[in-house]
Amino acid sequence: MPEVGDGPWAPRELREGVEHDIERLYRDAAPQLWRAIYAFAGGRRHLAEDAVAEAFARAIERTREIRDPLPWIYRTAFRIASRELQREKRLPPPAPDPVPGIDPVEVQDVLSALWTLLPNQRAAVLLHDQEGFTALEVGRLIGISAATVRVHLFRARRRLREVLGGEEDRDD
Amino acid sequence: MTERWQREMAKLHRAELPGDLWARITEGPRLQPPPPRNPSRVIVAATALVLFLAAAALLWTVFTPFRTTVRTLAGSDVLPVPARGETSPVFLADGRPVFVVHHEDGTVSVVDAFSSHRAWGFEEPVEWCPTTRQFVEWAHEAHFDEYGTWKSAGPAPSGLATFAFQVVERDAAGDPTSIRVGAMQAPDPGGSAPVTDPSRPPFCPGAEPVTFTVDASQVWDSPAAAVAAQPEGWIAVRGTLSVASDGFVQLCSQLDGERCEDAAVVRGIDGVGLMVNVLQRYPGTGYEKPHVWLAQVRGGVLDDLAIGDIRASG
Repeated sequence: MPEVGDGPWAPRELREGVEHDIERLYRDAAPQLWRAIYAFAGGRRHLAEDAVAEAFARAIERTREIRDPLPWIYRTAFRIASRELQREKRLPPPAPDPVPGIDPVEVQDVLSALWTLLPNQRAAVLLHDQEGFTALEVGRLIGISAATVRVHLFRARRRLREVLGGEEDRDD
Repeated sequence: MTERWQREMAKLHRAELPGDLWARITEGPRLQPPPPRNPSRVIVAATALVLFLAAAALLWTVFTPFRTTVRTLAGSDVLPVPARGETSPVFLADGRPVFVVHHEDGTVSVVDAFSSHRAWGFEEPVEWCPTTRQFVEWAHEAHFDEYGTWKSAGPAPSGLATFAFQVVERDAAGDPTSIRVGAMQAPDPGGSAPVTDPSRPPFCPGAEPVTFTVDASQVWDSPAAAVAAQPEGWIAVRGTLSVASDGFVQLCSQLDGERCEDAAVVRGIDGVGLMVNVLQRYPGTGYEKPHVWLAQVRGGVLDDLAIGDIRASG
């Protein structure tokens, strides 16, 4: 008698239950991942959609092989985005693609500034400073050490200050 | 307090997830998955490395005969022993000249071919006289017996150095036929007064002395080229000695006035002593003539320069 969860004999409920886990993960994590990938890709909406959708779709397909789905999905999405950017060898788009919630013109400067960073620096600063993950979490999500994340953050921030200006302002 | 870059990045935070993305996800992956890390890459790299090494080995083999030959006097540390009563001049593995003496009583000695006397820093070769069964220094004619012990004339501060050896093979009568030469041994301490003996006993009566003959193909014609090739061990180089008034010594392929061609610096020679005591006082003593010299190349200069009756044949 095969055991529950063992390959093709696994009950339908269990398999759907695994899919539901990814769906819940999608609901919880996809907005952050989407924003990070959208900015990482210089405002290319379709590339960001492809990377995020593909990462989740593959996670569903391989759900039994993945021990820790969230970092796996992050790494997959960033890897797909990097590969697509590398393949296209594009310059940053003259204007970001419009997405709900933001004015493309308004974010053009910051996206251009982010584009001047190395990919790992860009990913680190987006996840840490935009999405609020700790350095340890960022390292876990993109597969590098926390110390390396801090180095990337230091260099990324310095570069962003150079490009966007470092004047300080009091929060309202 | 926020900086501009932080405020700008905050604008990105308002980007909303497209509503239809989940529907697309449930349709399954669309993009071609990246090729898994292909183990064949390793195989390709290993194959390329093997092919490269094979090609390098082939080229090395093919072109070895065309490489510049570094001419040395390298012989062997396993030396043939001449017949009983005879002495043969041979070169050790590093090219140092020695004599293998097979004494009448069947014993063997390996005797250094350089005298213990070094006039002005030159190595002074000795020659073997078969009639007197003595070694005679080429330049100042100190005499040593067939074991290297000083006998007469000089100057020679001690006997000749000898070398330890092991017998490798013997003939049917038990005489050594080949030996493996080991370390140099201290000479017999007995020696002459530190002056040239005015009595000058006969050099080698009734016979031509046995000396070293170097094949002409082994002789460097350019001291500069010999030094540049950095050969290991002793070499033979043809040249004329140049001693400047300040004692700076060079060996030149040709010396035209003060113009020294293809020069190599010579170390260890007392140039001032040679200049003041020999070259200026006794012109024509032979130092200024072209010779075949034996020497070692060390640190880009000629060292242990040996002046003597070294002959080039062929």
